Amino acid sequence: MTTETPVRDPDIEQGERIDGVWKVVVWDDPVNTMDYVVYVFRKLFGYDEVKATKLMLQVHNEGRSIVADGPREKAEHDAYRLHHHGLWATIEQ
Amino acid sequence: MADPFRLVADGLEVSLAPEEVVFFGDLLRLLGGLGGPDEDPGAARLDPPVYLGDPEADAEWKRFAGAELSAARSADRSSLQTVLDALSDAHARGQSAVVVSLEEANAMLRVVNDARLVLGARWGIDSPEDYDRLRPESSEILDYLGWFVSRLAITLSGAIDS
Repeated sequence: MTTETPVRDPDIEQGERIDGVWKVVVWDDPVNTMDYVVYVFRKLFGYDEVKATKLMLQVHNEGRSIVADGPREKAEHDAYRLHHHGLWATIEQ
Repeated sequence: MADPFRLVADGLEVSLAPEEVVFFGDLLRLLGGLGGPDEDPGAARLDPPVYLGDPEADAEWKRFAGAELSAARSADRSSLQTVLDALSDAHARGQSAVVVSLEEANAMLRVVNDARLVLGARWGIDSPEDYDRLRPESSEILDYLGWFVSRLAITLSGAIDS
């Protein structure tokens, strides 16, 4: 058994405390087609057809779906890519 | 309606009629001439908020991402113009199809979808019921663009599967 005191990484700890996990939310809209939304989820996030379709249906039926999460910078990047593809994405904690 | 897309070894074969090339050229001009988001619902639809309920964070986001997004959309439109020019040349030679890269195909998909979003916003489509209030010619345009987008997305899904 070791008696060493664990070394903490102050950057990681501070980053987690300040940043936390951000969720990327896609909202329903009446114009984007279902086929297009499924394709965008597959292309941007690498989801298989079943998962992409499930997320699309959640957006369609419930009005929104969390499609990805991560640090704030990644969430903003995901939102940027979704907007570039015409989907309305927001990020939240 | 015949399927205008076919995956081939080096990209996507796109087959469009001359009148479709003219129509997509009109869409490029539409997207290139959008107003500001405050006065043009089409422009507002393309740049929705990322931070709900936090105008300050959203303004900061738009300061950083807005110009980059605008440049990316401009590059997409230039890419589609190149494809349309190639199709016009093909038509002049008596052919109807060209082969484009998958990057060009994806740019085309985004541009045509953006045009549909802009038209839908300008024509007041806020819910599925709003389609019933459209003029027949507007409804035909959205139907055609929706068919085009879906066919292209389904075809490009085949490139992911392979």
